[in-house]
Amino acid sequence: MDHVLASPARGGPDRGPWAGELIGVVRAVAGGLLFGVPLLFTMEVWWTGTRTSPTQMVAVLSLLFIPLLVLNRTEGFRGQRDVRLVDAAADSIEAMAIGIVVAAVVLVLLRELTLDTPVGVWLGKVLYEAVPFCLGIGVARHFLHGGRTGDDDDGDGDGAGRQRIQSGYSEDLADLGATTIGAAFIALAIAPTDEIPMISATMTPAWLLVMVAATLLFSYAIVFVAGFAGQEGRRRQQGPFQHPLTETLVCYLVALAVSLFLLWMFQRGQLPAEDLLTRIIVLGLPASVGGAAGRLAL
Amino acid sequence: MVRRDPRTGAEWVTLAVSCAVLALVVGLIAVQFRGGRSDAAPRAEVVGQERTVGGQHFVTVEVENTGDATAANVQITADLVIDGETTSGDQTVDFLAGHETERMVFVFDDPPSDGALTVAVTGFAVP
Repeated sequence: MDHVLASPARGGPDRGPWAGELIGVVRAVAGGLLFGVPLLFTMEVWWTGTRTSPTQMVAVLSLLFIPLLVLNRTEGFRGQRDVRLVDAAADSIEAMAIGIVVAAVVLVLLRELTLDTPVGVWLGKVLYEAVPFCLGIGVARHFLHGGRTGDDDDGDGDGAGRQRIQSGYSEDLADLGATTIGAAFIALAIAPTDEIPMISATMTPAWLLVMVAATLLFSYAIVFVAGFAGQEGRRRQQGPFQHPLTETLVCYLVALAVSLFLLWMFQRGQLPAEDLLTRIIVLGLPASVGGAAGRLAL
Repeated sequence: MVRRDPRTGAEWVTLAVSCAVLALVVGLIAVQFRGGRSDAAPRAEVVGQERTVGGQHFVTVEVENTGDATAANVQITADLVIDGETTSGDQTVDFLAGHETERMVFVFDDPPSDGALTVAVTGFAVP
C-alpha cells in the first residue's frame, strides 16, 4: 500500500518550498564537503585530472551515476527518501551537478584552477574531485543523522539537543573538545603532506581573506543550516559561545590552533610568521570541516 | 511501497539548473573530443627582466606545452656561456597539460647579460 513518509517534507513543515529546497541544497553541499575535502588536498588526484582523456571523463561521469542512483533510492540529500526510480534519477542528476559545482568552487579557492587553466584540465580535475563530493551528497541525509526511517532536522535534532541540555555538562567545553577532535581527525592526515606548502605558495593576502570567509561559511552551513542531527537543539543551547555565529567563530579559532599544533608536530611550522599564517589558514579549511563534523557527531 | 511528495516548483528549478550544469560539462567534454589531440610539445623561453638579489641573478623562464596531450617530467635546462665557460641549471615540471604554462626561476652567479643564455626543454615523458 502506498503511503507518504510523515517527514518534514523538503526542509520542514513550517518552511516554504523555496526555503526547504535551499536547505536541501545546503545539506547536499555540506555532505559533499564532509566527504570530499580530504581528497582535495591530494596532488596525485590533481595530476590524474590533468592527464585525463575525454573518454575517461565520460566514463567517470557515467559510472558515477550508478552509485548515486543506488544511494538516492535509499538515502539521498533530501528530507524524504527517494523510492521511485524517476525521483532517485532526478536527485542523482542534482547530486552530480552540485558535486561538480562545489568541487570546482573549492579547487578555485585552493587556486588549483585559475582563469589560465586549460578547459581540459578544468574538466579533468573537477570530475575526479567531484566523485567523493557526489558520494557525500548521496549519503547526506543519513550522514551524521542516525537513522534511515527518521526525519531530518526537526525530529532527531530536537531530541539530541534536549539530551545535551538535560545532561548538564558544559556545552561550551563539549563543543570545543569535539571541534578539536574532529579537526585533528581530518587535518592529521593532511598536515604532513606537501600539498599544504604547495597551495600556500599560490596564496595572496586577498585570497587568504576569501579563504577565511569561505571556511567560516562552510562551517556554519554544516552545523546550523544543513539540518543534520542536533541542529535545532544546538540553536537552543545556553552558554557564552552557543550563539551560532559565536560558536562558528570560536570553533574556527580552535581549528586554526589545531592546524598550528599539527604543523609544529610535523616540523612544518618553522617559518616566518606570514608564511606560517598562510599555511595555518590553508590547513584550517579541512580542519574546520572536520571540527564541524566533530560537533555534530560527538 | 513508499512514495515521496510530488516535486515542488523549487525542486523543478533545482533540477533544471542541474541539467544545465551537466549539459555544459558534457558539451565541454564533447568539444575536447572534437578538437583532436596533438602530441605534447613543451617549449621554454625567458620572460620578463632579469633580477639581481644579493649578488645573484634571477632569470624567469616560462615553459608552455603547445600540444594537446599532457607531458610528464618535463626537463628544462638553462645554459649560460660566458667567455667559453658554461654554467648550467635544470628543473623539472611533474605534469604539464596541453596548453598549460608554468613559470620557474633559474639563478646564476654571473649576470646573464654578460654572456649567451640558452633555455630549452631537453626531454619529457609521455604519461
